[in-house]
Amino acid sequence: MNEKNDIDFEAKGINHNNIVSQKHLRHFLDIENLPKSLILDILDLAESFAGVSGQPVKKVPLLRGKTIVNLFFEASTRTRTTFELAAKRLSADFLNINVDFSATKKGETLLDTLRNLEAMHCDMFIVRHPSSGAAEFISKNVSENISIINAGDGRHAHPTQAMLDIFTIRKYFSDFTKIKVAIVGDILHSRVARSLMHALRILEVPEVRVIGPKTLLPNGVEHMGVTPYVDMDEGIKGCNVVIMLRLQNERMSSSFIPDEHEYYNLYGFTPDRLDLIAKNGIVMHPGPVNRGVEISSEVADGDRSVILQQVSNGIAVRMAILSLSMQP
Amino acid sequence: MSDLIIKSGNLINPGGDISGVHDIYIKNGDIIGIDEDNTKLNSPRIIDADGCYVLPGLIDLSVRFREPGLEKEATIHSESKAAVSSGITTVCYMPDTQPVIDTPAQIKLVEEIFKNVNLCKVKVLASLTKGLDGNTLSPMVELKEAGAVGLTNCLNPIKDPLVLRRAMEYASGQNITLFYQPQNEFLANNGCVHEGKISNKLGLPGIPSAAESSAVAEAILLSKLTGVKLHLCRISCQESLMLISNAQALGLSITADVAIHQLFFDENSINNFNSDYHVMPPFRSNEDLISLQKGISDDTISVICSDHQPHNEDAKQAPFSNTQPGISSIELLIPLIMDLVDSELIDLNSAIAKVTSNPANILGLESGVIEQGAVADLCILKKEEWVFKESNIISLGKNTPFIGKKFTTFVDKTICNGKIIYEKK
Amino acid sequence: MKYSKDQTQELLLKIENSLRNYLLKNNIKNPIIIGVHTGGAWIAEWLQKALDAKGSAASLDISFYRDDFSRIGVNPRVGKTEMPVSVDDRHVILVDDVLFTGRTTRAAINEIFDFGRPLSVTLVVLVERNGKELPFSPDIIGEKLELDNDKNIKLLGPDPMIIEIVDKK
Repeated sequence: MNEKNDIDFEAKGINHNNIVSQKHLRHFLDIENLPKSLILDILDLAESFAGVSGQPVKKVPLLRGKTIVNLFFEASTRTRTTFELAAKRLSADFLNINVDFSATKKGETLLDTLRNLEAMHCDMFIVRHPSSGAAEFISKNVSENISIINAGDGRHAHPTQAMLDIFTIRKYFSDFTKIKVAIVGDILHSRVARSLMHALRILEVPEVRVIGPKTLLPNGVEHMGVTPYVDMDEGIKGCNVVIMLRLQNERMSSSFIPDEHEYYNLYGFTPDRLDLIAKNGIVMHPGPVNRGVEISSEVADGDRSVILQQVSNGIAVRMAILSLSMQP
Repeated sequence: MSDLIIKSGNLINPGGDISGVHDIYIKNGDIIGIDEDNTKLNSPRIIDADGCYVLPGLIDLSVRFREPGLEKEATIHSESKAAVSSGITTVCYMPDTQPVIDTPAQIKLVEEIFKNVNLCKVKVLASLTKGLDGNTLSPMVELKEAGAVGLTNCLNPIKDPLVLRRAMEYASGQNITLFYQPQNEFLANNGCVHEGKISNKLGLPGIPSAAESSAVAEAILLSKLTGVKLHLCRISCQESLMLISNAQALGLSITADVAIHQLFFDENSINNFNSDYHVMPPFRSNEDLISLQKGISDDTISVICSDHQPHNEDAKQAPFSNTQPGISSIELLIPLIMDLVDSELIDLNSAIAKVTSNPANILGLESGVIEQGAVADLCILKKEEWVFKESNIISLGKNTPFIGKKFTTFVDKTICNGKIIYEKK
Repeated sequence: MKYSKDQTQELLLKIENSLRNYLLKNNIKNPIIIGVHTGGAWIAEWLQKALDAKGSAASLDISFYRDDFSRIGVNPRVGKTEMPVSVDDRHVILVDDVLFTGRTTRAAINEIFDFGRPLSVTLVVLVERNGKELPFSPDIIGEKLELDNDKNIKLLGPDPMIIEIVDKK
């Protein structure tokens, strides 16, 4: 009998923007302060949504009547479309808004944009913005009934990506406390890396390594509970999970690294490096992939790579996050 | 103008010989006697300063008034009102207004406005380069003759060290002091927080200490080469202090100041993107904070200024890196300094020297001291607990992180040229 | 207050019998038995075996079809929905432990229709209690009960299955 259910998942009432009470998420801004139990609940709920995509009617009516808005101040195809699919599979009404951030230099415009959108009575904004802290700022400036989902703010956080990454990891390794994870690439500029570092720490992964040239490893990154390596072969040795990050073109023109060729030799996931990771090791990448720069095609398309699964898991995980954050 | 007697005040007077409990007699804007009335006063107003401190009027080495050009943020009138409520009788006007203060006419304009406002006195710091472009020298001597007490390029970079050398050389030849805020713009690289723990966590672009200390080193060595009197503005890190201390030990004419807020916070205050704590130079590590506090007690840093930067609401209403840096702090200058004294980070005399006699020396002023014959610029402090509330703010800039802070001292009266220009109601 | 194992068993045998007769009378071969999580799914599985049908009964978790999202949000603990790809042209036997307000039945039927167009839907419940809010009536029933408003009825299980009447929290 499922008539009147109590919500009994335990959220440790932490005083943080994300959690508005013992029982509900409201915003989903970053992973840093989420209790482990809540992270696991999101993964479990995502598991249930994964089935929906295999059904003839790929929808559940859970968020029918709610309006969700993609508010993107930064270009993105993949994240935008997975959020759109996730919202629509929950039967929510959906709107895509792209704001040309370069044209809006002042913060007032951001506030004005918000006020205009609020007047349209939307329930949730999924926000991607080039400035760190933008999602936090927006969450402090919307009315009580609106939820904000952070789809990436500057270099600070990309919590939904980290969630789908750990969801994918869990499909291969059921016990987080028994694995070694390495993140390789431009850690300094990566919001995915930061969110992952937090998530893995909360799930008590005993060893998290960040690997890259010294120019792309934040000074003092050990404070975040990880071990830095500049030698990739040393760093990925014995790892069960290796997450490759995208290298952006700007890094070469701003003297972070000399050129693609040297980067690929030192930090690219080449086929021979597969022998260094654990026998059951997997290779991940949040995408989009720069073939021949951070990863070889052979590895990206090979059987140790779970890159495509990350993409399909993205929809179920985002459905879970949208459902839990939506204000009833 | 009425004559004044300030009775039984406890004089804190680090620049002068007289201290302790004394009476002060004021006539025609000057102190004509201490403990005795040398010339007959004309029905003087008697101020009872029993149990109060009496200080020379404060001299604030860095204040932004936003007028002309940026009146939507603040005006000379509004910020002068705020200044005098903190016992300040002389302000150093920062030239990064619109237009920039780089001609004698503009200096005259500013002085005229202050004269009309008729509260505190102004000493203009003029722009070192035309339009603060960091490249073309402004007419230094003309500016000095028009009343500029020194030259500064504010936070605008002087990209070419050769330009900096030439500017210093020229200024040195004319006995003009250079007020230089050291930051290498390339190493700073559009950062908005200290490059450290917090910038790593929040993913905000960071400014390493080396951006400041390398510029300090360059400036010190160039001042040695050129012989210019160099004052380094708004020091924020341990590395800079070390270099300054060494230079001073070698006998070089280098002085330095720190913004009052840098003595209270470190990078951790930024917490979760709180733009109230967005300042330039940024709040640095806890070690840096402790070094700065030591630096004021061992006199490596000889001046504390407010670094007053009033902003309107919009300036702080955006994601952190899109907000304007700066804190509106002028009206809390003396309460905050007394807070440092209460915390025993510095003794009372040294603390007061940093806002009276020391800045006076650097500016070449005769004020900042209480003695017979000196101009009567004074302030009277009362000891009483109070809490700083938003409704207290006099400045047009409400951008301050100090709301809710408890203080133990407030300014009861401020006297300028022998006239009471501020009185606490 | 608990029913005994035997008492519960008696009710199960009663609905098994009624269902058998119903299927015969209506000439229904190869029906699909679908149980509603959690209690209904146990009963459905039991019926599947009792009727000698091959394979397992299907089951539904109705969490995403509930009508009370605006009151209580979503519960992250969701059971597995095990359904065939399509229920087109099948006779559906919808099984639940308790019929109370009827909202679970409404949600279950909505969910079933997202899997296709059944030929018929027959509602089988172990217990029907007072408090109906929607116009659903069971076709096959074990027992009808009158309970006070402060009482709830639930099925413990899966083995043994025992009906329990508890106070509302």
